[in-house]
Amino acid sequence: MNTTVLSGVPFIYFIAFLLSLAGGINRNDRAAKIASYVILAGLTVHTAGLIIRWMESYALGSGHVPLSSLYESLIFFSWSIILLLVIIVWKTRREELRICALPVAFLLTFIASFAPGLESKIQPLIPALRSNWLASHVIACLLGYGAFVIASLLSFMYLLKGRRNPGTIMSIFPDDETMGNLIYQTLFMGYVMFTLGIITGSVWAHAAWGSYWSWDPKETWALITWLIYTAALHVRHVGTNRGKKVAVLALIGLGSVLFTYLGVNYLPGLHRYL
Amino acid sequence: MADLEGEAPRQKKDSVKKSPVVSFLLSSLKLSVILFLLIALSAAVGTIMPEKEAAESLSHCLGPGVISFLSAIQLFDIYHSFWFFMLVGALSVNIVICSLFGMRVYGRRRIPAMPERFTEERTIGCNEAFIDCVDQIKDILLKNYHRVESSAVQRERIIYGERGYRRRFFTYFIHAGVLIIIGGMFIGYLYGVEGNVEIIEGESADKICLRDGGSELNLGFSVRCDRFGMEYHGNGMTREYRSDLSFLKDNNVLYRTPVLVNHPASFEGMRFYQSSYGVVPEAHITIIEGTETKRFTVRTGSTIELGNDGTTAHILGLGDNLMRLGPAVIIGISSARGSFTLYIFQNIAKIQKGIPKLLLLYPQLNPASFKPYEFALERIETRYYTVLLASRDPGAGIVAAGGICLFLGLLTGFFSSRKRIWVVIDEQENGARIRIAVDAEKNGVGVDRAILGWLDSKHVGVL
Repeated sequence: MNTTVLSGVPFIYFIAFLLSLAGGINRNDRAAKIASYVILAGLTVHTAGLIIRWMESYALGSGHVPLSSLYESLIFFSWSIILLLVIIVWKTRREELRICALPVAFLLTFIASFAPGLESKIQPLIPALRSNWLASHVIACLLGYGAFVIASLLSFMYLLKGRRNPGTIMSIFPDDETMGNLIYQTLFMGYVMFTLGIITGSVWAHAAWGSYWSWDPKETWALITWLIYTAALHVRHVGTNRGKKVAVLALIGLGSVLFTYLGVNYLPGLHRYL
Repeated sequence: MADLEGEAPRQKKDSVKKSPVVSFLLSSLKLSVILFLLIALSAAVGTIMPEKEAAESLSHCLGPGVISFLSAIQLFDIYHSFWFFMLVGALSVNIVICSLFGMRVYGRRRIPAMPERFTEERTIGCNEAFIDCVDQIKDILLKNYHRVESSAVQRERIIYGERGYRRRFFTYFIHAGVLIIIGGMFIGYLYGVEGNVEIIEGESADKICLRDGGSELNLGFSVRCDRFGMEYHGNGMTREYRSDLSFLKDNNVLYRTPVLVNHPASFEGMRFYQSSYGVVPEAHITIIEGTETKRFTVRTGSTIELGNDGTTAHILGLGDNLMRLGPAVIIGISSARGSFTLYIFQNIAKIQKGIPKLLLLYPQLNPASFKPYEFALERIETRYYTVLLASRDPGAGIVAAGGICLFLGLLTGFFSSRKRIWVVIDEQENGARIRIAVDAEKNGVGVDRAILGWLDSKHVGVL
């Protein structure tokens, strides 16, 4: 049931993306307005899917938050991106952000639902994951990742915009200063979440593995990601061409996020689950 | 939102003349960024470098020289290497100096440098005296901003307002948090211990094998594993591993507790974690000497004294189905008469029925071949042993305090905002030119309504 509901979500986001694109390019306020409703509908269905999955896990007897497999983390990752998108657009009225973030959310939900070989069945928890820290650790990390993804998309647009002449599609994005501020704010939001994710992770590791920090590859890559974003937040105050430096570091940070999230599984370590 | 080290780029200029080169270098924010990236890079290299043991097996393709060079620069254990410590140490010094300089500069500077662009530019007519106009603007700023400064240069007045300026102290919280964490980790590195202990169900241990070096540490008390067990989910996956432990001192049980994955136990500062488990086979044997029958429970490696003349029976191995003849125990006898190996089968009587000449052909299968003793194997059982990880980290509490400090600092930075405003007023004939610059990180970047209202109320004259 939950997987059926969730497999509809990517299509809603795709429609919302097309509407936002139409709204952005043609300056069509009506399309943009409809897009915002479609996004909210998508988020509602997405949230409902997560809740149904949670309830179904109780019905199966194992009862746990849906955050313990690749499928579940992809679903939650995309959910956090859309949630943050809705919040940021609501706070800043920067509707053009949707054009960057929706394709990513579409892609993540699509991969989760339709990639061959991706197990979407609810599995009971292995002993190492049976902890109250699971929810707080994973939610904080994935919300952080979500904000980093949005910041990186903005940075990509920022760098792309710098090379293009005005009048192209890039002109729907605001001026460099506003973009710079937006990137910085989103980065900072992700940074706070991600720091919380690392802290809760350490507390959990202290209870489960005997040490709050074991230099396990996933821990180490989380630290690397954290350091890259720390650098990004600090270069804003150093030297010239600051906006560009922040944007470049945010993009490097995204590479590190992706490696922390997925790549690390190919290195030996304690985080054999996600 | 956040403004990390807002004054830092300027402080560089301030400190360059007065401070020696070293402190200039260490206080530079540019250096901080370089250090962040260097530490990140080293950590990344650390995740792909093999362990030293694994690297040594690569020596045939890399050459022993390369391996010993890499080993000499501690590349196989980067996170505990000298140069990694140096990088982290340099970062700590850099943070301290940056924070100290930031404070000094902040205290000294009255009106910070303006942004390059003005948000608002108006020319107003003043019916009253110029100085009254200035005072009125200053009053509005005083109502809306925590800190207001003004300066006058010839006919130009600058009024500066700042609100939420205390929030800049969040950076000190964050930096203090990071320093405390680094300190705590270092204390843990110096004084922490971590090791493993394997305990068979029903037995106890009073030593742990330390992780590095393989030396043993006396606990000063003993831990007994009363029971080890597993629980399963409906589909057969393991749900829980559980060891019931008792902590004893002088044979008195002082504390009894289960230890599960994610639920460690603590005793006298040492924490015990469920790490792994295993099974060990155990044989129940009897040794008959004349009329006397003795029972023993043995495992591979056990030794039994068989009398006072130094004769011993050493258990060389246990087998569930040795030579396809069923459970057996292999016993090595050493005595003044020489050394023998005996294969004692549990079902020897049955085997003998099938192959009547067996004991003649193979006397080592005869349980009574070493006179005057006769061996018999009653049964082989398996028993669980639990593997516990034991650790003591005096730095953990400090690291936790640092983490709280760091996170509180970040939250303060996230939920508070700073707004700064510069109003530049040039005296002109019959009026004044007013230019306003605003620096705010959150939305609503703009000139306050109160000021705009005041400007609107003034007659706008074209001069």
